[in-house]
Amino acid sequence: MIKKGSIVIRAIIFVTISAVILGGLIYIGKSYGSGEVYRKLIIAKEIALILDAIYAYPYDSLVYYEKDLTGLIVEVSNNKVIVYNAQFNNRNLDPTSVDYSFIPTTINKINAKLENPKKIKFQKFNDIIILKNEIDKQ
Amino acid sequence: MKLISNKRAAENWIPADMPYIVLFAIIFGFSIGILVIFMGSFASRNTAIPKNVEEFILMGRFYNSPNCFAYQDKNSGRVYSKSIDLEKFTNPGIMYRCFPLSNNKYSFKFELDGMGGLGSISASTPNWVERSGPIFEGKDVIVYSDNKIKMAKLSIYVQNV
Repeated sequence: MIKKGSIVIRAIIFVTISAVILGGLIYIGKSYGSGEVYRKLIIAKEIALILDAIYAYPYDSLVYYEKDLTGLIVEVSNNKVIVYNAQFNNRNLDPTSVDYSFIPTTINKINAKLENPKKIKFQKFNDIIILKNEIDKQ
Repeated sequence: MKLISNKRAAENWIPADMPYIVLFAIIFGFSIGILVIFMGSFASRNTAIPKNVEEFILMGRFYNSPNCFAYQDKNSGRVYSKSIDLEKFTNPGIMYRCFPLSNNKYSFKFELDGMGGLGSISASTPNWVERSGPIFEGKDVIVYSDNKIKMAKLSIYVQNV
């Protein structure tokens, strides 16, 4: 015989799991349906290509990526450009996060995390590339 | 909290239909995984970078970057674009800095012709697989060797890894 308390706990767990799964599916569906995933992929690829081009350029340089990326986080680490929704704050929590790799020419690895960037500044000086959210004004 | 700490109620916690629920969860999760992978690959194809653009950008580093083959004046530090330092070109170790293997989708091979008595000299990225393939680009470059300058033709071959 199943006790009353056990049924309630089961119900709570099943409802919670179902809500998480359903929420995830709705979010994934919305991301693909609205073109959000495509936008993220295009941004990741464009930034990776900019980095490849800067690495190929022999001199110091300054490049601006003038796209308003409000609502997104652009992270560069382990030779990858990762783009995900700002509401998650961690790429592993966003089921529709995307990444695209670039190839560096130096041992100086780029590590950057830009939240809601309105304009990204790529600065290469003495073979070191720095990414900045231009509104930071640092 | 009272419900969770109720030991009597926890007696029959594992119901008879639990194996089916677990099986359902595995199949459901697997299906979702496949769906996401399929949609991801579809999205990736729809946002593909135009043909040869990425290869073209990547190959520029070999004759432009001082971390690759480009000649850098030791005194002034000036880097000469579209140049080849023969010492770097014949050093296979330079590739591990210039074109590290992690994550990359391309491999390159280079042939330098018109080097007078030296004939044709070749170099390649470590992931290059020797097989016939079309030439991607031929470029006139300046070659620096033993404090001398020569003109040569650099042929670049690209493979998708």
